[in-house]
Amino acid sequence: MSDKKRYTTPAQWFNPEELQSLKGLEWLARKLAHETLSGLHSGKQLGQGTDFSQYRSYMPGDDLRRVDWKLYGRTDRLYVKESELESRTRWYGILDASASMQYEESNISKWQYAKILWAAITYIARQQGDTDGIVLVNDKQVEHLPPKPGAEQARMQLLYEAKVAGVWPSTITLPALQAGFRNKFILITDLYEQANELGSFIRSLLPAKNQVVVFHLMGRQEMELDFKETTIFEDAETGRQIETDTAKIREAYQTNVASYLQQCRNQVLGWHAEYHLCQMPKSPVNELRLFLRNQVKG
Amino acid sequence: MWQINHPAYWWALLAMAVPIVIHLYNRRRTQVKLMGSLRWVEEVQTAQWNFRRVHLWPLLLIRLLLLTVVVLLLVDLYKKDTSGKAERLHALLLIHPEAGDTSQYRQLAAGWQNDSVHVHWLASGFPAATNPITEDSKDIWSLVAEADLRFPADSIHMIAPNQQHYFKGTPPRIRAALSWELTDMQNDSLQLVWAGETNTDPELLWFHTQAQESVYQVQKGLHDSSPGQIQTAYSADKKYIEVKKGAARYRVPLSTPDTLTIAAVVNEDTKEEGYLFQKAVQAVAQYQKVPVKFIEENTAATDWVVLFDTTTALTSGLTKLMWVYEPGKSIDWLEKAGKNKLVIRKELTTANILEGGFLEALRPYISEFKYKQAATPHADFRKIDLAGNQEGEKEQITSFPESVQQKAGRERVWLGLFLLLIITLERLWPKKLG
Repeated sequence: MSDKKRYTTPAQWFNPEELQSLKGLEWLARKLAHETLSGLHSGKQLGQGTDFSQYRSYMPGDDLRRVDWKLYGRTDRLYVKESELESRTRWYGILDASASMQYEESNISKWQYAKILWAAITYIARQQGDTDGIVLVNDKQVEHLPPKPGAEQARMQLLYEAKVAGVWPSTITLPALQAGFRNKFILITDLYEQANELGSFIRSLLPAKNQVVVFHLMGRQEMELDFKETTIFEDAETGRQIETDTAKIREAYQTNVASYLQQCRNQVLGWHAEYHLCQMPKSPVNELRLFLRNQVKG
Repeated sequence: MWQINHPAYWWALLAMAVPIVIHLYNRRRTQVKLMGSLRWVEEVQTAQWNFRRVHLWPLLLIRLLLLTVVVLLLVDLYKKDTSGKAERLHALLLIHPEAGDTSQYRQLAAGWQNDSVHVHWLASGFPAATNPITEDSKDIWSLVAEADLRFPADSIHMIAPNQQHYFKGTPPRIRAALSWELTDMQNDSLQLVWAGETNTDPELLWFHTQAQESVYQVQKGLHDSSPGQIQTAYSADKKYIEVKKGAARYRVPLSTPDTLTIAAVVNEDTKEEGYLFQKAVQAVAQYQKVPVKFIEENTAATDWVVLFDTTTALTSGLTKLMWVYEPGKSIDWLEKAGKNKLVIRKELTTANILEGGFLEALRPYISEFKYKQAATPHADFRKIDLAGNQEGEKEQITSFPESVQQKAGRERVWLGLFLLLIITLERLWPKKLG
């Protein structure tokens, strides 16, 4: 089936049915990654490094030119070469697994959006021979799978099965990071916090030459309050409800939200982290391209 | 016992279906949206008045109650006194000191008081006398107006001599039903006992006559405030009684009499006499415009029983007058043999009937039958006779709308206050859930 047939509208860049299975998630991630990479200039495409570092198992979709055919001839197994420079970069996906990520627009929740986004990023990372780890964070538990070659399937399985609950914890203890590696922390979150706990966490990641990228997920209706006039809003984390006439408060609401987003952007940039605003339910392809361009520059 | 004045407004209860339908519809429509955070909604949320928040069931109940109270006000629900007594009324008696023997009015007032009517006296020498009338007092009408202002009277009864100087000025417009009575009636063929104005139609006067025991409704022409002698006479066509009061003249329409029902008992020998009697009655009744019906047996509807066969036993039943045919040698046609018994003393022949004066003898009895029919008396007035005795069946003074309205008004005020309370509760109902 062609991509055009799969996506009925430009905004409908995913099929909700595809999110019902692990393979579907992988498929969506790969499609998004290919779409992202196809928009970049060929000279700036990220590829393998110059110095061989190690082999890793072939994953469907990997560039066949990177397959070591000689090794295949010897072992009857497909392996992909990884460069030394790139293999020293570890990508940590830190996904906000709090209950506020249940917010949904156009049949996709922020949580599902975050999964697809991170899965696409890991696909791109592996393309260039990097490893990736994943951390799923809420106050109930912190699930962590460190970057490890060969454990990609396990990470994808964890990502697929994870659920949201609770709130962002006030303190988080991440496992000790290995020296000698460049770490890229990709934080995918809605930045809803109670007492600046997210801000503290971001600042804690910044020292030691780590790179922090924040993908801020917000829905279009959430930003514009584009709901029916009489709506009951329920807080996903506290369960509290408010009934309001959205028509009467829309203008003031939009002003406050715009001000907040600007404040978030300024704050993150002020910490020398990277900031990308992903507006649901639009595809994050543009934000991903910008992110990748920044990686090349950086 | 609760009563309602406008039961048709109960249909307004169907309007309660409207908020119920809106409630069910909005319950379906109002969406619950899961948000990541309510901070911005809370920042800009203001106290809102939303008429469409009918998905809240307590608010629905309040609005249904509000509609119910409105409907109760429309149907005019009030509590009726079922104690059997009349409404608490006020009657005002103005008795002029020169009104003559007023003992009858004492009895009248006592009767009213037994019916829970407050009686206020305005004359010297009577209990609770205040503001006695003297010759130097203001004219009678002014006194009536003052009394109307001072007391919450439902009816004012004024008894004064038939002297012009006591009735100076024009009768005032007053709230209460005014009845006035003349004393010292002279030369009146109908012997008027009392007359009064109705409070429902000030253009009508009611006359109660002693002789006929009837009440007649008189259409007022020119109202003369100086009641002089009243003269009455039948009109030429016998359809009216003409009343002359001073310079004014009134025509009193007489009510249509009932059918004179006559049961004639004849035998073979007296069949001819029975037939002649029947023809004579028909002739006189036709002249006096009285319908006549002859029946063969005595029934409860029989007015006269005419016995031409004295051997026949009377059937039981009510009769007003009995005629017995016993011709003999007599000068007079009829002989009174009892309270309701007349004996026909002359022989009934065609010649006697046409030329012998039987028709003339018959005439007063048909007239008596005709004028004994009373028109329906007006409910606002009590009938009394000169002896001061009230009629057997008392007429209850019921048409005092002011009292009834005052009572109903008090209940409406309570309902109105309750309505205000519900409206206040509806406006103050919490605007936020939880």
